[in-house]
Amino acid sequence: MTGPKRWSESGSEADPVLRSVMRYARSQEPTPEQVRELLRGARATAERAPKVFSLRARRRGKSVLFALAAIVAGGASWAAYRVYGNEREPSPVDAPTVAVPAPIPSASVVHRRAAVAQPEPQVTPSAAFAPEEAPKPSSTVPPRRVPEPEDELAVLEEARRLVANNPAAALALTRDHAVRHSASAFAEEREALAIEALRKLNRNEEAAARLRAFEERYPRSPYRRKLGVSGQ
Amino acid sequence: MTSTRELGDLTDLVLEHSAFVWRVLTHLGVPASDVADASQEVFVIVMKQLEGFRANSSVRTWLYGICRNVALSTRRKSSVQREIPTDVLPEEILQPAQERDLWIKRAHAQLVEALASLDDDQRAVFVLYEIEEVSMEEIAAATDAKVTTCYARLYAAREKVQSLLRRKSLSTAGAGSDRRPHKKGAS
Repeated sequence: MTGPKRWSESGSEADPVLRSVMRYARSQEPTPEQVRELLRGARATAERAPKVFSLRARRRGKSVLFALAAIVAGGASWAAYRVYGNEREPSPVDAPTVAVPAPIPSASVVHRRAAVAQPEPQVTPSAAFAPEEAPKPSSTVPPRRVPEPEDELAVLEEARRLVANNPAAALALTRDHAVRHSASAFAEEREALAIEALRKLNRNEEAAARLRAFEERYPRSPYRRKLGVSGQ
Repeated sequence: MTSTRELGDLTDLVLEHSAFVWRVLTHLGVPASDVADASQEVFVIVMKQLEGFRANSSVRTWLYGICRNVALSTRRKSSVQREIPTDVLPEEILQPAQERDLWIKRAHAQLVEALASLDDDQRAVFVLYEIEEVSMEEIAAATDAKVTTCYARLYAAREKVQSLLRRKSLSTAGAGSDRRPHKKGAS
């Protein structure tokens, strides 16, 4: 059944004044900044709300870890003093060098680099998911800065925008995202975008392999339909 | 525990439907200053209900139902706070160039006011059909009503909105007094 023309449409029964108001009503939407804010708030609330208890437990866990770390550090200092303490006073020059993590570039910087650095290293399906595994503890590697969700979003939004017309750049962005945001909550989106980009580039075998890995990892993903996975 | 997959779903939903949620809340009478918070509340509820969502039903109409409840509770809170939040600047400091903006914002506010006078069913059909451009079949499925019933609600809502806006002198001649609602299926 064909319905009546909507008031915002030309030729509808509404007069021009009312039509303008309806079009204005239709144009109401949040700014990109408001969307980011909305996403950040909703994610934070969704993560926090249902588990007051687990938050407490996490805090308790952190306290225990701090206590353990303090004991270990204390023990190490004492041992070091026993070994070296009598030889000489420590000087600031002897302080162990700490590698400073490289700053994470903004989306536009990443994009520019992705657009220039076209050669795409082969990413095996298993390697694509590897960064999501829990990082192995290491005393020599400084902790990575926890990325702000909006940094990731900006990169993925850019990749999403590019995937139709510049799939190579989109693919580079997803690869970059995998490297920089190792424990990302958006890995699923990233992989879906990467598969789309590979298909656009006619790298069908790689796309198929990655899709298989994707299906295994995200059997209930809302992207499965978009990626043409049957048997939903 | 909110899983990574769920957060991924949330991200996707927010990016895809935030404009819809924003508009619906606005047209359900949530004050401009509360729309951001109310939108966030909608998506938190979405996260809680995501598992129960039937994939074969429309996301937009499902979201509409959540928006309706959130709008109701937000409006109640706002009336208790007795605030008069507005993003329209006081008239006396406006420049002539801003007059049209002011006019359209006021006219839009009158539309929102008129929508508040509709009953829930009429408002749902009007907002979804006229503003969100959802098909009538989709609206009928979501509201568990016949398509013909939904059209009847739309015509009734149009009549009421036009009548209220005429009273406020927004809608000029031609939009209404001598005009009958569309016949079913007319286009």
